[in-house]
Amino acid sequence: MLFNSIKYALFLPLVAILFWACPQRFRVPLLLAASYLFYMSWRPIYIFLILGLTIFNYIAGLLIASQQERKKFWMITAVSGNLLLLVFFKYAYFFDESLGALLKPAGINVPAIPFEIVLPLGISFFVFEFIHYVVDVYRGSEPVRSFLGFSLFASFFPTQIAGPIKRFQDFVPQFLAEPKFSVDCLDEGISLIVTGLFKKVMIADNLSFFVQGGFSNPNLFTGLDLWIFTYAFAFQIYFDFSGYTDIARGSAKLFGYKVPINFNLPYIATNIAEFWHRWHISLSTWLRDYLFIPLGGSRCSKWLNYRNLFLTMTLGGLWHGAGMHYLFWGAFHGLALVLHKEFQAFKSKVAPLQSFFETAAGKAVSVFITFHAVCIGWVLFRAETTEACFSILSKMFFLDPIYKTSSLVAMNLPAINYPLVYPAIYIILPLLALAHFAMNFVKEKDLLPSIPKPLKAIYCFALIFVILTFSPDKSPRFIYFQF
Amino acid sequence: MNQTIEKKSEKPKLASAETAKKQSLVSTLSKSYVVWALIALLSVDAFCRIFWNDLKLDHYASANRSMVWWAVDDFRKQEKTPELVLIGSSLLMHVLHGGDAEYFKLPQNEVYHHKAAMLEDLLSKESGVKVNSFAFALAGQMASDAYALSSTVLKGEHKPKVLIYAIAPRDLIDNTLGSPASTEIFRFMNHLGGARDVAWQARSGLWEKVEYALESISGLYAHRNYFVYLQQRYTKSLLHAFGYKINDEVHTPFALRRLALLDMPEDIGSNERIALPNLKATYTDNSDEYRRRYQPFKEKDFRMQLSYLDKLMAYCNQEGIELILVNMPLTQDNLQLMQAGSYELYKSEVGKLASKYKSRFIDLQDSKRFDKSLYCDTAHMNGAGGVQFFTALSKKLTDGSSLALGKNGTWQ
Repeated sequence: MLFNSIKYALFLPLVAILFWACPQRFRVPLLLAASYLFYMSWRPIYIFLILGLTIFNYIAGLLIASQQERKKFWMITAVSGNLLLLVFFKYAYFFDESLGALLKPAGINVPAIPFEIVLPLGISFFVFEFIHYVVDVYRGSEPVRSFLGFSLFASFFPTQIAGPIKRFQDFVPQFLAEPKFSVDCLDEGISLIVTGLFKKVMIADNLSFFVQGGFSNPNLFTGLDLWIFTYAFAFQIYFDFSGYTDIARGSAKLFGYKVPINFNLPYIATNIAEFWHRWHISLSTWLRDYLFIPLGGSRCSKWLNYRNLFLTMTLGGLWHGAGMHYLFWGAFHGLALVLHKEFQAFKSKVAPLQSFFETAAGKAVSVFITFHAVCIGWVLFRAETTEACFSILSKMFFLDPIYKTSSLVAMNLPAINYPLVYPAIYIILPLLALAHFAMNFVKEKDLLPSIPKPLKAIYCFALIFVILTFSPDKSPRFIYFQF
Repeated sequence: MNQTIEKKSEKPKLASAETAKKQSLVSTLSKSYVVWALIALLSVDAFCRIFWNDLKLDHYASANRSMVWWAVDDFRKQEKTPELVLIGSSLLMHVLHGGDAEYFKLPQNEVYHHKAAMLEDLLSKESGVKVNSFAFALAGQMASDAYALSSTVLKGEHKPKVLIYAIAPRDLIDNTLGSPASTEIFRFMNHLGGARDVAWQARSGLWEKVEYALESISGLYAHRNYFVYLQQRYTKSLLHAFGYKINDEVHTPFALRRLALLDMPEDIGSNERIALPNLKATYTDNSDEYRRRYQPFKEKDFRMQLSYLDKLMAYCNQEGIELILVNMPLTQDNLQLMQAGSYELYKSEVGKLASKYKSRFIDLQDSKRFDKSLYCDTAHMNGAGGVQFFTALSKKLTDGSSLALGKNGTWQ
């Protein structure tokens, strides 16, 4: 059941109405049943997976909390169990093929996996939530005693498929307490949902047709075209994922619950470290708390710190999918973070450089460089094969001179009749970039709460009208569903 | 006694509590800007629902220009209603465009070429009759589409005298079809307000029906395509004012266009499909595609499509349109892809319907006359095949007594 489907448009209000009509004692069971129904709408059999994992981690949490002398053993068992399952579903083919390729020169034939493995939706997200739970209980947090509450934590349907990755200490107490219906929740929830739908359906989906054409046929395009496709993908993935997150947060808000934010205008980051504080925040904080810090974090020697950064980002890249290009993407960001640290150290020693980067011009240059570094990363992320990835990058940088003008092919790719990207990607992309800065201004000045209600009503009306009338008949899946 | 009085007085108290609760809910909701936005939206929706047909709009306007849009647009611009209309799928499309290109040695732009010019010429030469024709040769057309198209477009003053349906087994047996309503032709006919009598039954899945119900309830949702069209029109005008001209042409390589079209409604530029004469097209083996279409033979789906053919024939009967069914020739390779007995069943069932409505059923399946050299794949003919096809068809048409050709060169 996709968020941008009629099914969800009927399902969500129905569950919300039943939720508020029910007495508090029925609300958690109701949401749990709705969440399981939501999950089963895809592949009913996988309900046993989420149920099994819930029971396993619930018991693990209680054992860790109750058996002080064996708590490390239970924590390691639980984390290993979760990771093994994730590795099996997500990386079995990848490892099998990689091992086969590695051992082939030695004459060893690694047999192919004799059965089909279908990746369960959202497994990467709820496995990370379970690992967070058992590790935090091990570190001293009180485990969740209510089984229903714990089950709902992992399976809560708005965040079930693609996060944000929640923290049980913040989330579980919310539904164990009695929420009160308020107009603010309704307004905020619906506003977030329609904003998210607009981002997904009107911006990301329209850009996806453009991006797909470019990345699947890079040989047809010039270096400048490929830069435009890359910019388009940068905005596509941002609006797709942040749109999803907005819908998830808005849906949760309709029940009176708060879900953490995942994005904070990432493309205005002035350096790569700041980018990761603004992009997929729930994942980057998870990686920090459960990978980077256990590896030693930054309270160690410089080179160990760099190693930890590099490893964390590389593994974070691999988390996105079983493919070498994800690994390269992660490694690229790891390397970029290391270079950023080095540059920071160098900058602090050169006073004119330091003062230049504190000026408005310096900040603009920083944003420009960071955005382009992120875009190079997106080529690694989006390219369909490793060969295509290097072919695109070489065209963008070396072999295909930048002075070649952008071809009409790129201009016409969105075809003649697609709502938003048409007529000119050259207009849309700068507008999307400007929107980033405009939103930053609104946030900095804290203008949102002071917007008069009639204006907010017009905003909602316009967005629903546009979504209802301009959304394409067939909408591609959310990019992050595959992870 | 006291207890009774207390109970009696409790009822109004409860009722007033209920009313107060409802009032408080209403007053709470009235503070919500989302509720006001929804009220405004419902009002606009209701306006669209009630007054849409009274608004002076071009109801043929569409955001996407599919092959059916080009054909219908051309048909309504005809000065005189054609006496002869041909309908059929890509099999007819190939013989029409390729055949005419070959016969006249002129390229044919498929989005504008809707006249069976060679057939007109052959009929004129053989019988002295001057026929004005129009062809709805649309790829993927099923029997359900043929019914939707005919009952929507060929009515009133736009009724032809004769309708030739170039039929083939795929029009009734196609496992790759989602539901009858999932095709672009059916969708566009619904957009024009046609095929309402079968709109519900043509949607097979629950969610397809829910979406249709939503379209029936919401004026905005039902006419969303028109709003997209408006947006495009005004954007084009705006860009035109800045000197940026946009015509109906597309210059994107089709390999890229196809990627986008996989996920979007069909949309064809005016320069995208040109049939060339003397084209020595290589033979493509499309057996896998047709095997998927034919096998396994699903009798339920076949009978359902047959029921649409029945409806089409009943419609023609009722409207006084003479319907002629023409069985399109296929290669032996293609016939062998069908499950044993299904081609015979197809012919016998179509033949039964022809008898029921006293229609002619011209069977042009002849592997000797239409040998493999006349095909560009297992099902579609090339230009030379098109010439052979229309030659054979014109002979059959002029030989037959049912086609009422007058000796003075007019249709009776």
